[in-house]
Order: sequence, then structure tokens, then C-alpha cells
Amino acid sequence: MTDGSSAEDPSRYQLFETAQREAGWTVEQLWIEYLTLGGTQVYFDLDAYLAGLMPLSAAQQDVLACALNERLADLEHATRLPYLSELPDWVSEAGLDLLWKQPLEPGSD
Amino acid sequence: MTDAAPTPTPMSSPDQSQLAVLLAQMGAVVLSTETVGTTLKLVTALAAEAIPGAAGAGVTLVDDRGKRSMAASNDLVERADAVQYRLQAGPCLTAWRDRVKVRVDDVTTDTRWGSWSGQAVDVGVRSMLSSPLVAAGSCVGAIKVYSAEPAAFDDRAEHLLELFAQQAAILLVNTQTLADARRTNLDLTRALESRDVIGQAKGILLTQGAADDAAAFAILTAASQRAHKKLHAVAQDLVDATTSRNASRPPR
Repeated sequence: MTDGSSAEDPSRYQLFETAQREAGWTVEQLWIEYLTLGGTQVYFDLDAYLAGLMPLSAAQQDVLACALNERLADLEHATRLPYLSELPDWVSEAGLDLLWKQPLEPGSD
Repeated sequence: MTDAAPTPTPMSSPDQSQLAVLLAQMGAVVLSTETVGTTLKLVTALAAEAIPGAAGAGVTLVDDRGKRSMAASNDLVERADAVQYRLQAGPCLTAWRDRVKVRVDDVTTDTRWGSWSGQAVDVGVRSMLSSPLVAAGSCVGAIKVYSAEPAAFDDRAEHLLELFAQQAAILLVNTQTLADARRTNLDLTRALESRDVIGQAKGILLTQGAADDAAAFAILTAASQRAHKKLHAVAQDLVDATTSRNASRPPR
């Protein structure tokens, strides 16, 4: 997941803008899908980010990327937006399965 | 151009009061829960009835993205409309694009739309009327009536279709607005349900050691990619696994 891009990269919004067009969604449709996945920014801020007028935090960019990636997968487009956040060290790829099969007791180790 | 042809006087031509009844029927639709599709059908059926001389009526709606939806009262209309869409030219498309009413008294002598005339004759059309559907300043489509006879429509029919089109445009725009609002409502309800499940899954991951909301989301996206499932689905799986674990153990 390391692709060298950063949240502050001023041209990164263009990736999203392109993906939005490929997704065939209006900004409003994209905003609703982003809310669905837990996004917290209001419509205006999302619209402004997609136009390159305002920054968006790395965490919110990842939520937006996820909304678009799921749509592009549905449409069988090959394009995917890279995520900025990395998987925490304590979770290995294989550990994910375990996490889902046997969630730990809260607080236990 | 067809001055010599006698103006037909249809036997069942509705008078103004009958038109008022028809318009009232359209007005009632807004209060019920009709969809755009059923409203289109109703408007089309009413137009075929209301306009003296009409053998069939059709409505074409064009939205902001150029997408068309249409309704036709019978086969004649469907065939005649198909010719226009194939050629991308014809009286109804002119009515819609130029926002003008269009009357064709005899397609065999009318040369305004090139090859449209010849093909219209082939599908059984001799005369037609079309009026744009304009509401709230925008043109949402066109309504038209066809006849297999030449000069089937007189000035009165033309005027009636115009009056009818004004009411139909308002009705169709209102129905469209209502349908949009209903769709947004459904979208938001679904969004909230899904968001709730994802929120619960992130909460579970926080108790498992995820540093913050963003880290929990990163775990969910990784799990989603690994399982080739939607993020919402893996979130639901995690919530389900956790609740079933809790159910099989005594509360602490």
C-alpha cells in the first residue's frame, strides 16, 4: 500500500476527480456513498476537495477512495485508488482472518 | 398546404368541460403516489382521448443528461416515434429542441424533416401535432398525437394540445421531483444503516487494539480487499462474529 503519494499532495484530488467521472456518479451520489462508509465531511467540503479548492484529511481521503473503488469494481473497471493509511503493525494479512473468526475479549491479550 | 381538404369533425370530440374533467384527473395524480412511469402512461392515454382526431398519442421526456423515457398509447405511435429517434430528426424532436408547437397536415407533402416523411408514411402516419412540455422554465420533453388520415388536426385540436401540454408538463415535473425526493430518502436510510454497522465494526477493532478510527478503517479496507467483499459486508461479518461469541459466553 505504499505508493509514495501523500495526503498533502496538491494534485491528488485529480485522481479522485477522474475516478468520479469513471464511476458515472454525481458529486451528490458520491457523497452519499462516502457517508455510507462512515465519511464525516459535509457535501460542500467534498465538492470543494474534488474541485481542488480545499484539502481533505488522509483518513477522509481513504473513505472516499473506498467508495470509488467499490463502485469501479462493480463496473469492472481496472482502476483503483491507492489508500494512504497502512495496516497497523500488529495486524498481519493472515491475522485478519483470525480477527474475524475469533474476536478477542475486550482488554485481553 | 392542405387547404382543400375538409376539416374532419370527430364524432366524440370532447368539449371544454370534458377537457376540464381530464385535467382534473391529472391534477389528482400529484396527491397520490404515482411513479413517473405510470404518470407518463396516464398523460398519454388522456391526450389520445382529449385531442379530437387523434389515433394515438405519445410523450417523450428528456432529462438533464439527455436520457429519454417515453410512453405511447398504441403501436402506431411507437413505430412513428422509433423513426424519429433512429433519424435523430422529426417534428417532436423539433418541438422539444426549439420549444415550438409543430403541425404536419400531410406527411406526403411535408419536406421539413427530410427522410422522416417517407418513413412516417411507411409506418402509417399521415398527419400529426406536437407540443413542447415546458414547466418552470425548462423544456422536459414533447407530447404528440398522430393520425392515419391527412389533415386530422385543426386549429382547435392544436390549441387543446397546447393547453393539455401545459398541465401535463407541470404534472410530470412534480412527479419527477417527488420521485427524486423519495429516492434520496431511500438512499439516506440505506446509508445510515450501513454506516451504523461500519461504526460498530470500527468500535470492535478499537477494543482489539486499533489506534484510532483511521487505523480501524484501514483494517476494514484490508479485510475487504483480502476477502473480495464489500467493506459493509466484512464489517457485518465482524459484528456477527462478535455478537455470536458474546451469546455463547456468560456476561462478564
